Amino acid sequence: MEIKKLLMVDDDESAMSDYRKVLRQAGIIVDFADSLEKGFKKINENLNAVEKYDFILLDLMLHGNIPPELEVFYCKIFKNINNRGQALGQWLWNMRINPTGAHKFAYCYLSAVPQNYAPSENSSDQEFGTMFSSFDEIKNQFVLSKLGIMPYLLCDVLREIKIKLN
Amino acid sequence: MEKIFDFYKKWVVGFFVFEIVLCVFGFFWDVEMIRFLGFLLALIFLGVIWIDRKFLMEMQLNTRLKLRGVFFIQLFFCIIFFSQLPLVQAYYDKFTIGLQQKPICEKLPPLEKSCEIANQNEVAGTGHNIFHFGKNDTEKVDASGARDEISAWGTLFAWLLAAIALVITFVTSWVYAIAKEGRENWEKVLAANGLDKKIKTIESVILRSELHIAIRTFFDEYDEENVPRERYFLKTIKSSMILQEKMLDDKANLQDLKLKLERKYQTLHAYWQNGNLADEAISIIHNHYLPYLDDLISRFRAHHNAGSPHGAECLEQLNQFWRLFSR
Repeated sequence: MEIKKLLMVDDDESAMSDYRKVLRQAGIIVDFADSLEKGFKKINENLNAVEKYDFILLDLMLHGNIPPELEVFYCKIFKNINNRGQALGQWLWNMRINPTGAHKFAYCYLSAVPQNYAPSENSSDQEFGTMFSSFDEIKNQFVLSKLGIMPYLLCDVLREIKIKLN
Repeated sequence: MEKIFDFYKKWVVGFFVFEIVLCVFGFFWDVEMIRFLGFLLALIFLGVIWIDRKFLMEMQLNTRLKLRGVFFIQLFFCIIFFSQLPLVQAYYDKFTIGLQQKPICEKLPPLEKSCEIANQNEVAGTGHNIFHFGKNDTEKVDASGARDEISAWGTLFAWLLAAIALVITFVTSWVYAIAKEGRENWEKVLAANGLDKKIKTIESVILRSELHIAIRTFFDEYDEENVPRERYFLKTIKSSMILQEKMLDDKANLQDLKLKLERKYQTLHAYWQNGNLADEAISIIHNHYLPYLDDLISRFRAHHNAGSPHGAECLEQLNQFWRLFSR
């Protein structure tokens, strides 16, 4: 399960440069969006592209305005802790589980504070809920810690997640 | 202003009168009492010189210097006044001891002679040794005189030490006051020419550059495979710096900046608390980032005091960073 093209959505581009470098060295084309709006725009543009993103790596804490399409996914729990990245993730998950969804993107989170990951308001909407019933298990599997994961290991970890999701 | 000056004038005159009275009565009164009063007076002057710095801040420089000069002169005379009494007494004691010893010393050779003759005559008879008795007596007198002399010099030395200590205190205070005034004047000159702001800006640039160089050097020395956490942490520090600097711009979107900085803070907090960062990265924070943050906070305060709309909340956010790393 190869990853050829990846989108990284993180508000600190320079801080992520080591991760980008390692991914590029592994032969992956890395696209970058430094805000929620830009990330959302890039994903939408990619929906019509020939070469789609094989993986989307999201930060939990993103800045930028919430696009109207994402408002519905930006629930109170996420609002309270400013987890805008989770609204984008929830939208991606919704696209995955919806039979009429435009594309099933593989994605996960990479955050310095993974403990900020919050459960969805409705348990039926919980991301990755069809794969794991326990919230903690979901958190451990799909919310990577920047502190815990070394850049040179990132490529292998993302491949494993992509396999799980497919 | 005038009231303060009048108040000081009264005190100056009052102290002069008090000193003259002390000098007059010093010839008749008990020396110990005068010493005590002189010492008390010196302490009062020292206190006045000390308080003077706080009281006279509103007055003009020349007036302040004149008043301070008067008090310094008073203190100087006071030290001379109360230290001369023990000096005179010490010399007097030495003189009287000399007078007491002289007759005994003059009598010593004939006494020794007569004792020797008596000894020779009566050595077999009574067995008393007059010569030795006389010698012991003389030694006792000599020892007593020497003790008194040492005591007198000791007293003199103690008083000299006290006087020197007081002079040192006074000179230190004086130098400190002059240095402070010099610095104030220098600051006024700088402010008048707008140089203080330029110097402050240069200092800030130097601090910022030092921090950038330290981080750059770290990146050059250690690659991402060796210290990925430290590199990520320091890169986040760099991006925090950019955001923090933007807070000084009145046109910046404050809410957006605060939100971004809050996220940076959370990231840095997580790394600082749990990252087990290398000592080199920690030393960059302590030696370069904290001084930079100190400077930034002072710049922000000045900016805020100058009427910037960015208020106490931003300052609190900067302090939050400072508290995190200074722990």
